[in-house]
Amino acid sequence: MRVVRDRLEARWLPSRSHFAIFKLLALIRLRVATRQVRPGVILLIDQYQNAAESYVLSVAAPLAIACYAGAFVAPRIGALGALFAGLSALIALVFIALVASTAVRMIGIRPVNLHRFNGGTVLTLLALASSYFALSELWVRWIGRTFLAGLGLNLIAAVVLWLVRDYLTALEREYEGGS
Amino acid sequence: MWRNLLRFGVLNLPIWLEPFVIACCALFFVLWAPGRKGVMQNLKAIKPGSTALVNFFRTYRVFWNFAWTVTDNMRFAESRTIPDWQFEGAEFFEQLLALESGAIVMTAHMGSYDLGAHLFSETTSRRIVMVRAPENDPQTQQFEEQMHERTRAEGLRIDFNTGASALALDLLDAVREGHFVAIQGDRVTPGIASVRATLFGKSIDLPSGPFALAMAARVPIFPLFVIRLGRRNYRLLTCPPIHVERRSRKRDDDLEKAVGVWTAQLETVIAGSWHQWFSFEPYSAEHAG
Repeated sequence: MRVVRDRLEARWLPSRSHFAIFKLLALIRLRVATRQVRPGVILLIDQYQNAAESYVLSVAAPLAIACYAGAFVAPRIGALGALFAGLSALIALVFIALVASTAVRMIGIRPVNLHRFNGGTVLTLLALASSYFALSELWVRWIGRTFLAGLGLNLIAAVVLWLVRDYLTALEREYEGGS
Repeated sequence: MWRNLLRFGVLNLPIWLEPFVIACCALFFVLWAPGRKGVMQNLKAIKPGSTALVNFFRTYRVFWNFAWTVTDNMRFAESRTIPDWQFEGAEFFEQLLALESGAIVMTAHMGSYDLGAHLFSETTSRRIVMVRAPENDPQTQQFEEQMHERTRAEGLRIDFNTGASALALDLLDAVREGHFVAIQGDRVTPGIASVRATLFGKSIDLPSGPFALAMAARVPIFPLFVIRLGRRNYRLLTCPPIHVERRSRKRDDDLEKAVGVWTAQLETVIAGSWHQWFSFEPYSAEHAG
């Protein structure tokens, strides 16, 4: 368990985010932040500690799925039906991910983090759906294109982070080393 | 059953989907009529003059926080993931740790008291005995015991308060040996000795055991609250100690003074963090009727 003590601005450490784009944004925020010594603060260094990342994805992914489902079924069963269809689609995606992780385990491979494996599966399925809808004539093509653009930006951010990887390692050592 | 579902969710669902899942779970909790009504009645006393509609949305916020808290607790149990912490009232916390004698740590059903106890056990070499009310449902009780077994920390012992005098002597011994005893002092379990107090203008029965224990062992009571600030972010608030001393011939009068101080601190904390007070039954028989 890695923690940073008494340094409030350490909440912007890139390693507290999971996706490259959020890591890069956190790094930029950390660079402009001033040193904030706050005795009694303990911050965990864990890739799932970024609340903004979690909330953005938690709204964006179900919303995208609801829109895809809605574009298909709304003309037939109305907006409320589309909402339920979206929720059902999300549950279906998570279910497919759970089946996939179970299947992987059955053939003898044990993913270290099941939630990570399942998250990857859900995002892959979502990316496939977004690619399909991005090429369609439906109104949701914009959502599909936005999602794919987000993936592209994440890829660019990953490259940038890879280029500054030594700086990131030094930065984290500095914070973990103490105030 | 819902605890098993929670465990399954924590182990399997993508973490970035957590807020969405928790929002849905909180919605499900709101459908639980007795719990919803209990929280709404408590809110009526905490926030007098508020409308039922506003309190309904406030109730959702209470359940939202509850869902986050139990999830954080489960995640700690399964993967030892701790949240971020902020200490408030650090001078009192230091005072507690510096004590040569034992002490009683009084807390409430707020935030994640389990996570707080584990954090506490990491910051001191002293043994902590945590007293909890048992669950009504035997299966839930068994699940809780198994979970505590998995999360057992060095120096942390959890006892379930099952009878009026079952634990009293053990706890007295523990305090006299210099250990800390952590007790939730905002709710009384049926069959446990109680004392009448006033909270938000309504009468409430609180456990008298911690105060009697403090008086008998001549140790202070430190009110300590764990308050959720945001996603995986908690505050550990330590308040000034309460000294329960025998000053008059009437023991109950001396106890009442200490209970009055505790109730005032509890009221202040609940007033500021009403959305974290996980009391799903009307706390007072006055508004329950």
